[in-house]
Amino acid sequence: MATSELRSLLASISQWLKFRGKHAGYWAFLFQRGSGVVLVAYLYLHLYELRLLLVGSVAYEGFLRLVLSPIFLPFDMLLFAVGIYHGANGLKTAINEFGYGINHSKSLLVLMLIIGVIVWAYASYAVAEFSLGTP
Amino acid sequence: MTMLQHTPEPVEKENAKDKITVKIFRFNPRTETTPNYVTYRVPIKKLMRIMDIFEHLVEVQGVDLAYRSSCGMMSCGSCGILANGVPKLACVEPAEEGMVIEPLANFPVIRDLVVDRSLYDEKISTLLPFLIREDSHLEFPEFVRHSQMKSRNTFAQCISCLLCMSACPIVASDSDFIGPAALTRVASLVQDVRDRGMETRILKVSGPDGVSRCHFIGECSEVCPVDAKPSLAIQILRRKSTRSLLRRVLTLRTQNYPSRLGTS
Repeated sequence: MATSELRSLLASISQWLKFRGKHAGYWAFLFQRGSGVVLVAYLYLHLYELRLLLVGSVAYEGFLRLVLSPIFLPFDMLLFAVGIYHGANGLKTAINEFGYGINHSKSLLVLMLIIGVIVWAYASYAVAEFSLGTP
Repeated sequence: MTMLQHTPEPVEKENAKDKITVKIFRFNPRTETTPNYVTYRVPIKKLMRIMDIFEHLVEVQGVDLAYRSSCGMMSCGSCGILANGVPKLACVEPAEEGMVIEPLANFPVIRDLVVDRSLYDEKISTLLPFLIREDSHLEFPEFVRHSQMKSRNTFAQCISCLLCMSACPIVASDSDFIGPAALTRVASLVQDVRDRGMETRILKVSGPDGVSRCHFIGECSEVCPVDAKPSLAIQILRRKSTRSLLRRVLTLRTQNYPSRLGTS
């Protein structure tokens, strides 16, 4: 990436980090971008994990044992939160962009977040049960 | 002959409580390399606006502050500034203690609080900001039903104060984006029953820097002082743009449709 492009990218990001006086829609947008970056990073981690299949089953299963251990449970929960938020806000934006609920954008965002929290709680419970084992 | 006796008005004693402190952005790009914030103390009055601070500084204290002002009643849209980081009109925003006043964000500063509006002017001039008619109207005033103009009237409230452009994070990161102010103007014309230029306008706002660039963040509508609903205007244009594209695809007339590949 050329220096000028990098400088332009950094200038753009710095503009987004001016938080004073911002409203709910702005925070939703900012978290959407942030969660998108986290999901892309996770995608690369996932590709690294799949690459281990080429190394051999021992390496792959060793890595799986590591990430399925309870230490990684908070990371799984964070990943669910990020993914569910990205999906929920994306769905809300898509609904708005089809022309529905434009005047109730904030209410729609709150509704999507409530649904998102419920789905996240269930997903976290399920993965915790799987990771920690059934008592 | 009776001599008129001039009784001098009693001079009010200055009280520290009667003054407020404000911090104002000062920058002259011709002579300075970096902006600085200067603190001023001005006497507070009842129902004092930010514009009154500027007028006091220039007319009473003799400060060479550059700012824009015209109607003073929220109609001309020239006095947009950032008050504590939020885009506001100086002619209506109340003055407060400790306020930080800056020029509108996302525009180059000409001097102090005056920004270069050409970013907007150049864009709006390419979007045919006038009624396109097939024939001249026969009578005056023209017979138009209120119900026909209702949807247009919301967007026609826009006073081009550019607070929306200043609040938009997409304008902040991509200055090529047409922006909410110009798009609201286009929406008001597109929704006008007298106008016949919808297809031309929709084509102009359907490019990569047009309506598809908006992410429906809604900051533009939040800061709009006249409730012209710029985010709603953009979504209406987006809907019309999508329909226009579908019509063109179905009738195989996509050659003039703007795309990222360079056709215009």
